[in-house]
Amino acid sequence: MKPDHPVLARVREVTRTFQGRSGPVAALSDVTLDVRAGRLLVVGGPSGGGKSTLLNLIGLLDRPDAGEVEIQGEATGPLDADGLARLRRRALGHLFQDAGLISRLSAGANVALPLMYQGVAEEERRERVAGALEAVGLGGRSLSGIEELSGGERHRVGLARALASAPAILICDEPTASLDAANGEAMVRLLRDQVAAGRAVVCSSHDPRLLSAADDRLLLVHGRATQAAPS
Amino acid sequence: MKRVDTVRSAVWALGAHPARTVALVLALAAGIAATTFVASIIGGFSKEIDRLAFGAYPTALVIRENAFVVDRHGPPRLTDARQLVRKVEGATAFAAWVKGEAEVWRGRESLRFDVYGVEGHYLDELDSPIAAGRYLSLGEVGGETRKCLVGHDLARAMNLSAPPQTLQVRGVNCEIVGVLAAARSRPADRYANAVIAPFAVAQRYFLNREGLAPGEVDWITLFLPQGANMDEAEIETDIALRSVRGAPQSRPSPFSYGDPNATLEQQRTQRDLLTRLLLTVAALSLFASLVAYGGMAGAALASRRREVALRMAAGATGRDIRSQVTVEFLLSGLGAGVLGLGAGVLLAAVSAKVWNWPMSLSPAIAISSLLLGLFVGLVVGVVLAGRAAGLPPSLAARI
Repeated sequence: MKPDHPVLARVREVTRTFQGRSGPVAALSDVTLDVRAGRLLVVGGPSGGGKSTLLNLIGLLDRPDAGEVEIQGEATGPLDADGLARLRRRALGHLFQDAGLISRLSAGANVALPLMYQGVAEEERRERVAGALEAVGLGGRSLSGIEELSGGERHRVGLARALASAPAILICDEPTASLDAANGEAMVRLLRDQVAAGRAVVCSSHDPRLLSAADDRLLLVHGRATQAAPS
Repeated sequence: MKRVDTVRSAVWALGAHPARTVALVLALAAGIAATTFVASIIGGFSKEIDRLAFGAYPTALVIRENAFVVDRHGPPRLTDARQLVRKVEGATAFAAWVKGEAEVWRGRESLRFDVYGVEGHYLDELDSPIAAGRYLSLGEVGGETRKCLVGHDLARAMNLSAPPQTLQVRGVNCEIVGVLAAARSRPADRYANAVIAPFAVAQRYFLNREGLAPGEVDWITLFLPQGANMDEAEIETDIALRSVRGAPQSRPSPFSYGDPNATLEQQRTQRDLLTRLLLTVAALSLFASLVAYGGMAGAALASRRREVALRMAAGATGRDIRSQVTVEFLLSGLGAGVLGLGAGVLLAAVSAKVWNWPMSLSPAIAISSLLLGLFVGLVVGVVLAGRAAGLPPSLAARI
């Protein structure tokens, strides 16, 4: 046990199966792991190994067919869709592989989305958006359109959005995959900063820079953890 | 999520894809415009046909002696008409008529024409513009001066030019003060070949009606307000008239109450047929427009699946998504209602100007157009909002 790194998400024997053309395909089988505060967990493995599926389950974007996912001590199985949305809003931040920005919203408006759904007052929202953009090195770019930003900047806006609501757990799907070397390194530094701030960060990645920066690693092959999950 | 943010997000979503929004609004507005246009034209035609067919009669009772009841009471009287206006609730005016035929002379020429004697508000029933001269005043028809109006066919037959001129009716001079032009409505056609004189003058000098005592009339027209219940008015009038004339209420009425509309039902049927035809065209246009609107709305939402999922990933609940999408389509429906109403009214106004089509836009039509837009927007919005809220949030992670 690591008492200084409390468990924020507990995943127990989760299984997720999708319906393929030639029958059911097991994307994840009996995966168990803990996500701890102040730790960077990188999930590696070949494409189709179940990394994104696992991140979707931890990030409450999907439900397991079997097993349990617990976020901050709350079992997610009994929650309905709105209950999951409220927990997602309270505890989780997402950074998607392509940054997942809404193209016709400004950078600031994208970052403000989670705060808007939390019902944060407009004045406070503006301050927190400015702070989040500042934290990723994009201070003063709140009004920029998404089309005006470079690939690296878009990823940083995506990260700012994931951090705007101060979540306990940050979920990042291949955060450096589409970035050049300099932007990739900058992203790794930003993620380490979040870990240092006490957040739990869970990433899927093939990137050796990210793997080497990880505190914990999990290798998924054909939906099974072939390397001991952190616990 | 706060309501103001819901509305703001909905407005943003509409503004973010202007071409799509314009197409969506135009699709529904086209149907609403067609419906508004047809409704305006139907309203106009309906009034015009009513006016042509019925003249002043849509709300009038024509009271005569009941020829099938033999009793001592005789025909209605002028004094009855005056009392009925006071006694029948809502009655606005009366006209009392006596009618016969007489030899009409101009110089040495003579022809036989109808002669009408009238007292009271006869102009609505006359429903003919004046071609030359003037109408008889209310004071003149209630008095005993020998002044007359003539119909345009009589004027032509007798070679009458502009008044004042004099004709002799049954050998008694009558000063012609006005010549009527062609009647506006079918019932008023009967005055084309007639002389119209004050009631007392006609009865004393121009007509030789056996069995009609002084003060007795052929019929009384009792005018009632628009929308009056004619059946109830008939019962109330009969009770009042029997009471005035001392006729027992328990026996068959000595008076008959004609609804002039009854003989003109065929024209009403034709009007209703035309109305149904136009309404069918409007309904088909509206249906096509609804199909287009619904299809475009569905396609618009389908192209935003990832955006919806990203919002869910950012913490939007199903209710947040449902509210935003519903407000979006409510706004687009309202926009379509306003645009459709404007276009429909403009189209009707242009048709009225160019082709002289009658047009009548009531507040009910305007409000209905706006409500139709809102209703369609709401229904489509609620259906699509349900679908959007049911999207899996995991779509956010798919590129």
